[in-house]
Parts: sequence; C-alpha cells; structure tokens
Amino acid sequence: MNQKINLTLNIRNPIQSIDIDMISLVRVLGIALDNAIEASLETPEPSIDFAVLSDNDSVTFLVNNSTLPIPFTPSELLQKGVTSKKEHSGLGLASISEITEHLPNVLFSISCQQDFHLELTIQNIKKKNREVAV
Amino acid sequence: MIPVYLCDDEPIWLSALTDLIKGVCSDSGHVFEIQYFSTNPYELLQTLKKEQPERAVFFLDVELKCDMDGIHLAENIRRMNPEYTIVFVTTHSEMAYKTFEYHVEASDYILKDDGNISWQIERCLHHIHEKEMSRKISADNMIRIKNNARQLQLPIKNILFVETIKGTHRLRIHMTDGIQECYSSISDFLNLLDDNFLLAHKAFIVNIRFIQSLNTSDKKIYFTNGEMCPYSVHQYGKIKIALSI
Repeated sequence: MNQKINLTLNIRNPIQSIDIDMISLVRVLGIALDNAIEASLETPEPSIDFAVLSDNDSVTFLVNNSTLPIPFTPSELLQKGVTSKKEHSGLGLASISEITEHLPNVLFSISCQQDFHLELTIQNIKKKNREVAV
Repeated sequence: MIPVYLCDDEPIWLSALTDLIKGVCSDSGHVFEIQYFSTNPYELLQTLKKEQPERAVFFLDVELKCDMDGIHLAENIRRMNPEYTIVFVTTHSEMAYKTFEYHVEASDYILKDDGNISWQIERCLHHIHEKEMSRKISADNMIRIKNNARQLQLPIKNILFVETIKGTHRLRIHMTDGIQECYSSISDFLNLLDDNFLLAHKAFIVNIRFIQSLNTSDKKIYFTNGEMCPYSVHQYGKIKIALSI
C-alpha cells in the first residue's frame, strides 16, 4: 500500500493510569484504526486524527477519519456482518461494541457526520469507587 | 446583547481580532458585543467566573504560550456552562487539533492564515446568531448528559431510541447520526426527555416521532430509518394511544 494518509496524533498529557485490560484495548483500537485507514483511503484526501485525552477520572481515545457517505444507519454499523466493503466480514464495529459491553467502565460512541468519529472513554475505576464512598 | 470574550497570546492578533469583530458587528447589526479580551487564559477564566453571563461567545487561540492551551481553556469554559459558544482561532498547521475541537464541541474555527479573516468572522457570527435565534424558538431542545470529564449536548429531536446495556448502569442512545453511550438509568433518562418519548419496554425508550410501525407478531417497533427495537405487551396500549392508531 503506497497511498498516503494525512495522520495526526495528539496525546496532550501523560496517561497516569488506565483501567482496561491491554488485550481488550489493543483489539478495540486495532479495529478502530483499521476501519479508519480503510475508510479514509476511499476518500480523495485521506485523513485520520487520533488523539488521547486523560485526566484523573478517565482516559479518552478519539479517532476521526475522512469517509465517503456511509450507506448504513449508526445501529446497523454496530451489527454483525454489516460492511460497505467487498470481501470484508464487517465485524469491526460490532466487535468493538461486543467487547465494550462487557466492560462497565467503558463508554463507546460513534458519530457519522461529514467525518466518521469514534470515541472510547475508559473511566478510572479506583477514582469512581472513591467518589461513591464519599 | 451577547458578550464576546477573546483570548490570544499575541497582542497584535488580539487587537486585530477585536477590531474585526467590532467592525463586523457594527456593519451588520449583530447582537454581539466585545466584553473582555486577554492574552492570559487564567485571567479570562477569572473574569468569566465573576461575570457568569447566561450566554457568551468565545474566540480562543489554540496555541497559547502558557501551560494552559486553547483546548484546555475551552474545556474549562465548557465546564462552567455547556451552552457557551466556542470558536477556535487557528492556523492551517494547527488543524491537527480538529479532534479536540470536536471533543469540546467548538462550533466553528477561524483560520489566521486564510486571507479573508473579516469574512470568516462575519460568516461565523452569522451562524452563531442563527443558532441563538433558533434556540429561542425551541427553548430547550438539547439534552445535557455527563460523560466523564465531558459534558455532552445532544439534540433531543435526533434521538430515535435509548436502550440499557445489560447488567450495567450504562445507556446507549441511538441517534439519527450516531450512537452515544452514557452512565444513567432508563428512568432518570426518561425524565430528561419531552412528551414525544415513552417507555416501550423496561429497557427501551422510544421517540414516537420516528416510529414507522408496530409489528404485533415479532413485538418490535420499526423506525422510519429501518432500525427497530422490542416493545413489551404491557406498554402496547400506551404506545398505540401515543401514535393514535
């Protein structure tokens, strides 16, 4: 693949702690970035913005990518077997949602406007418990 | 009058922007008024805390030469009032911050290195003005939820249905243009919505404006965009009345 994607990476502050097992995180981010790469490459000006925000309460991963108009509703995108690509299983976003459903401290959101935007927010469990205790 | 606040670490830009905004306002009779400008984000926040305007517009430079950059400043402003309108003043090379602009729900941006800044400001203020007007008409059409550090604002009219994520205190909000998860209970969430929403099932809230049909054989509600969700027989009568069928 010799196509070029305009990629930006922003990590604004050091991540102090993150409450998710690394396998889940790597799987979810792997799928999210694979999707972003494939979708952006179909556009005249491929671009991906990847950012990580963190504070004491949570860590948020943001992926924003250029995309052609998506011929599916948001809910359809989270269903198994839905894909706009030929020869593709379409398990991507469905897998993310399946993984995050089992992780009570993780929120997963998508938005399909001009760009495709994906957010994964991982709440810091220790902090949350402390707040509940107070 | 809607007060305008500016923050840019370069005094030249600060005064240029102030003049341009003043010019645009007096020419077009917009309802905006420069309230405060500073090269220091901390001073701006202090002033804001004192004044606490009901509505306000912010023009923020992204790269402030300070330990608090424009994005961080925007986050602080958002925390004080999610209704405030934030516009970033940036350059082409700083457009890498696009994801953060999305994150703090910036409504627009002005490009410093894109020639016609006056026109950009005019277009931007025009949009904000229209938004303010439409907000007045449909007084409270946004739902505000807290998603960790971030305050989210979702247009109620774009919500199709809401479901609980089993076994957790999380909800998945299905909208026409996306899916948003948040921490809440279905009953708390229903209280935030208007009369167009009802409980179709103990785990589902539906927006009756988007209901296309009710299928009694598979006990599912079909929405106008082809999506569906289950309903419970206990709620059937209520849904039928709401749909007047």
